[in-house]
Amino acid sequence: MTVENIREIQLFYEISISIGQSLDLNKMLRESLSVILRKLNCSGGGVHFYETEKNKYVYKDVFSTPRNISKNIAYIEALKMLPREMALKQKSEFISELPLLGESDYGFYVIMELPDVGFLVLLRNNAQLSDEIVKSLKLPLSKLAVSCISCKQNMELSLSRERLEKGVKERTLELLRSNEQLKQEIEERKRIEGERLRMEVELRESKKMESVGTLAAGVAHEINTPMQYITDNTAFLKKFIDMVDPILRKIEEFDFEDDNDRSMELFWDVRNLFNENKVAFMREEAIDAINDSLEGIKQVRNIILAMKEFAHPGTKAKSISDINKALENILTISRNVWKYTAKLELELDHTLPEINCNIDELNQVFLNMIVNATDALEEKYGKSMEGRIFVRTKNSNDSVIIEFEDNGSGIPAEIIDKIYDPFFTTKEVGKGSGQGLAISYDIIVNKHKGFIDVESSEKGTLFKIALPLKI
Amino acid sequence: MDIRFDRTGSASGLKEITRDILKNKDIKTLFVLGCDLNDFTPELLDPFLKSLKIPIYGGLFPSIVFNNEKIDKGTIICGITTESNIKIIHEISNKETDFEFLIGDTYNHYMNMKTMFIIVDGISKRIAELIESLFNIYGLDINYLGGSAGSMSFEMKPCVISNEGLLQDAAIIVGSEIKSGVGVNHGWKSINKVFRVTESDKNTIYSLNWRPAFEVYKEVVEEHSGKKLTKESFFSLAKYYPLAISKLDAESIVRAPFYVGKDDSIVCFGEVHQESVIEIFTSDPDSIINAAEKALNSGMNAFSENESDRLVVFIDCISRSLVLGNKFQEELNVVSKTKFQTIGALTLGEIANNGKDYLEFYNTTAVIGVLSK
Repeated sequence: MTVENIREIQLFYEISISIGQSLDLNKMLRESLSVILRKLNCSGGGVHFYETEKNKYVYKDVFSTPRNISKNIAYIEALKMLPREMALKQKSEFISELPLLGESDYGFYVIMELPDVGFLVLLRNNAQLSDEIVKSLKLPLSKLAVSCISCKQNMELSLSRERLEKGVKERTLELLRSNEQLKQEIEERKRIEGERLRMEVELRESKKMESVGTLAAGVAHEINTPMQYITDNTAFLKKFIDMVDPILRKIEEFDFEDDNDRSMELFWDVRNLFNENKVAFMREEAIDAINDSLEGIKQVRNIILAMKEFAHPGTKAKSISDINKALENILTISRNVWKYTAKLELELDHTLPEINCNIDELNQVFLNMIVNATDALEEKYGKSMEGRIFVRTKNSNDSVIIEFEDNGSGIPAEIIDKIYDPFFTTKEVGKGSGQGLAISYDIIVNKHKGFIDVESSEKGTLFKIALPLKI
Repeated sequence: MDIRFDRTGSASGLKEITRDILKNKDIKTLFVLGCDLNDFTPELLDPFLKSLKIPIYGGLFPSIVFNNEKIDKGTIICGITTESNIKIIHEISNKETDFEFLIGDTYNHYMNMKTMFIIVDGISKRIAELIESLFNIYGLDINYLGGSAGSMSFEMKPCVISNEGLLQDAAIIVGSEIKSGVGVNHGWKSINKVFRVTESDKNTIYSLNWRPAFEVYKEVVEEHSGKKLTKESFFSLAKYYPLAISKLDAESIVRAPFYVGKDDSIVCFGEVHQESVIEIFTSDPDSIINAAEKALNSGMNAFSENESDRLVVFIDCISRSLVLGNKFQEELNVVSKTKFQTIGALTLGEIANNGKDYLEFYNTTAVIGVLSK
């Protein structure tokens, strides 16, 4: 083998090995083309890919060295040898004509196939490449074509990966946004719920205060009556004391060391005063007055205690409470509400167990039931005292039953389904807020997991409340 | 074109002549060829260079040529009446420096550009890469002419003359409207031994045919020359045996080896790519002188303009003068035989293209640029 042969083989090896060193198409073509051009002493070269466009093959410029080769007259002349577009079947005819070696006024050119990819154009100024070199170049160019395909596939893969990553990013971003929106919505709902609860508490509190207001006049009256006779009795007792006081002073003067005359004198003075003032009679009266007053004070004390228990600031916490006692308190403080309209009969089951409940809220319900029953009776009977209210407690196996029954005109069938709706009322403007039964329903059903039922006819209405023993 | 010569090689001489040239308001660019032995230092020259209002470019070379004389100390200053567009590239050896990005479209809108002059620090690495980048961007629509500056001590030092001062590890690229014709020839011949560069990095060859580069090179050179090749006196014999990067059906590109590394690697002026096919060349004085004449003829022929006044710029590798020794004057006489003025430089590497071949960075090659004066 001659040195020339060895050199040629080595140079083709150098060209071959320079091809496909990168999967980046531009980088790969730049490096490969640089070696091809240098080793073949070409003044420029360009790679073109076939592309199908409207059922025709066209070729697109992909890479060239130098970059501005498309303005090179020799290159333009070489490209003139190629059809800019061709029918699909013409492509194989075109390929069969390659390699195309030619010469223009501006230099020599070689157009060689890059199998399945496109073609390579090489420019040379001094002389045309020999047939032997062109023939030997086919193999490295096949490798170049394969590398181009690999780069294109890598590019597509990268693009698809980028698209996928972009999609995932967008989706993640969307999810994050939705998540954020959801968080905001949850926060907003929490805020609204908190607001609702606060308003509910405020409403309930205001309802209670409204009840306290309603009851205040009656309670005042209830207190006023015993206070009246407590005052009278106290005045009487003061008078009695004033009357007894001189007698007591005479007795105070009495001394066993005194002589008989003085003692007798004092005795007769006392005796006279006793008789003159009918002390014996007055004493009986005073005892009665004290007893009456004590009774009155006890009554006032009971009313105040009941009122205090009813009106104390609400708490959400449940505690073990006596329903019977709560009902007694309610009847006490609401006495003035119903006593001019109806007779109220309390039928308490004394076997009723204490239950874990929010007694403050239940008081609200009980009072509401009494007030509603009284209103219904007043509407039907006025102040004729024909109205009857029955308040009963019963011990069921697993719950406590509380009934409020009246012999009023009943609830019309067409509205009975709406009575628990907030703001629903049949009372005249200013008398009812329409919240009473709605709040009662919420307290019994939602807060205490119990139930509230109503039976109504023209003969009257029965509200039945059941509170489970285990809440 | 106003061409002056200062034999003192002093900074003051350069300044004085330059100021005198600049009295002519038609002068738009200054081109300077100076010697490494000149009394030029950045401290002495930078303030002056930076103060100039017109572009200046040039380099400090081992020697320069004025007419048919090789000058080791002195300065040639050319006042040029055409405008130039200058780009300075710093840190050439830094692999992060992206030449194509930096050069970019600097000259794309310079429609009248006819010739690109390039002066580069010859000790820099990646010079061939820089030249390839220029070819990738501007192709062969223009002529390229230039060389690498530097010292025969092979130490990197400021040697590129610019408006930013004296620079090292830098290149100055000048787009010019000056018309030119370029001829290139080297006159070296293969001693018919082909090797593969099995490991290299930029301008350092580590192995040839999987053996330490120096070991292989030494074998061939000693066999051919009958002389002993040592690491210590490497260049004194290696200058007669440059390496050549082979091409198919075209002239090889010569690379001058100048130094042997501790690891038996060979360092050249200019890159040698791994997997390149290289040969070892040699020559004789007549062939070398003939090559210079051929380059001159090619340059003159390539200068198509019908202009009576021309300037011959002779860019010759310093190693050729060392190889020729006393006979170098013959080469000078050959290239300066025309009726036109000749100036030039003996460089560490040559850059040239006649608008036909792939643009390359050469070593031990004679380049002739014929310029419109």
